[in-house]
Amino acid sequence: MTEQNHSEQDHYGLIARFAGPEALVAATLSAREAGYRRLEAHAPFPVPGLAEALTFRERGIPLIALSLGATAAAAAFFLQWYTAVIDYPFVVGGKPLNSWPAFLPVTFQVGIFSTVMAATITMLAKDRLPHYYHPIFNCDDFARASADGFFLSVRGGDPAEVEDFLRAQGAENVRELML
Amino acid sequence: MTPRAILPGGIALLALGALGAALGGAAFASSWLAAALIWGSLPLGALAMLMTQGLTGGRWGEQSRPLWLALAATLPLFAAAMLPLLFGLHTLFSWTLPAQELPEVVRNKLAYLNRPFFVVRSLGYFAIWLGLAWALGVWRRRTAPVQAPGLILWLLALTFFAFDWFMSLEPEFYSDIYGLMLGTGMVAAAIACALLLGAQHMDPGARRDIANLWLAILLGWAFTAFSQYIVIWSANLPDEIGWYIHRSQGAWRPISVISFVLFFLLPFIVLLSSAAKGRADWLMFAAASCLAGHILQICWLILPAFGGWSAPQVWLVPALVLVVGAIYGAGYNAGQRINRGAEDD
Repeated sequence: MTEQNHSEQDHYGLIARFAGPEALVAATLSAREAGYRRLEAHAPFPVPGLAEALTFRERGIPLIALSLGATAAAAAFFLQWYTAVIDYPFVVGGKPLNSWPAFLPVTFQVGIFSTVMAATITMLAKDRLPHYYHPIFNCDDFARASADGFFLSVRGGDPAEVEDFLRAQGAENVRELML
Repeated sequence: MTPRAILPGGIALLALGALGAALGGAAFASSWLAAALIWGSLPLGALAMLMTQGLTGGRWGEQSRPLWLALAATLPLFAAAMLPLLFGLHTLFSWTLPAQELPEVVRNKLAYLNRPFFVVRSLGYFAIWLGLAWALGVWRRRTAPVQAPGLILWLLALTFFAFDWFMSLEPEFYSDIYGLMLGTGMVAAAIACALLLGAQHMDPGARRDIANLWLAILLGWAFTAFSQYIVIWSANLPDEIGWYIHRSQGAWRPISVISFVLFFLLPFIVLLSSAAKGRADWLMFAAASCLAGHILQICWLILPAFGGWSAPQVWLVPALVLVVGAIYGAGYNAGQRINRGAEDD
């Protein structure tokens, strides 16, 4: 009995391999329809329709990137304006102190740099990277996700029931993932 | 579009231009030049899109190719509108004055800026563009593989065309990025025109690709236009900065701001949103704004060269823009109808 409990605690989920991208999208759609929510799909290339099938929507990264980029650009402009007009007013080439066209290249570059950094760092944080251990790598087959394997993993649930469901969707093989 | 559709419009433009040049003098000639260049930008931009599509292929190109072909087919109308101006060079260009009346910097340019060479060059540009349009299958079913050399030739011809017909209006001024700025502006206007006419009929994926291309071209325009400004503004040399001073006085200052907002800023903000890029109505709104900005921008590039506004120009410019535009539209429509008829046969 303790043995049984132990293995149930170690159970993470199931991973199923499908024949191709269309089969993977179809299986994902029917898994969602059947009520499975903790799904993850793995394919060697971006499969059209797969993100929609998983109802994956990323709203945070563009918003964070845009607002941080705009803030940094405004700060860069302010710094140039402050140094040239308030802190150390100095006439160059007979131009007005607030020579805003000259401030724009730096403003633009700081803005772009901050946007890219904000987008990259937010993406890594939301992906929970770097991540040193994931049960999915306990499946020997999984390396094929980078070559020719199309995988769907289902977390939790009753293993026997989920396995039957995945086989009914045409999975080529189904394996259990242990923690 | 077949020559059959172009002919009446071409004759109308030739006759109207010749009549106006004979009667109206300088005010008419400058307004006519602005109107012709506003609408002539569209076939020139469409030529570049046709060649780009020929090089890259792709779904966006298959969907939009009929639009580029139809726009490029109005090229003879542009040639017809420009032809009468070749006989009125003295009303447009100050370098046609006797040499002793010109400033020294202009006198040094007379080996390039003289009437016979100018006329030969102008005919050359149109020969190149019409030849490219013909080779690309605008008036026939076959397409010759001229896209790669054609794009280079297109940009070179456009750069020299810009030097001649835009920059030499103020012969002291010199800017070597001018052709690139004008080229990106024309392609952006042509894409806007194609989206306005066809966004509803394209499939969403192709429409999104064209919107992304449009965004890149608009950014290219902003980059070249700002580069020219920052270089000339920083150097502040008398021969060059005068060009910007003429364009920031009186009514031209608000016009420059409005045309920037309409041509670049509004479409740019719309195109930032991924959702708006997928919707035909938002794209058509951005395209209409860009075209309105294009009209103001060409006026802003051409008309300040002639000093203050003369009284007739206040109504002449909008009237000519409308008339030339209407003849263009008529030619375009007739061509579309004849094409459709030919396909039905």
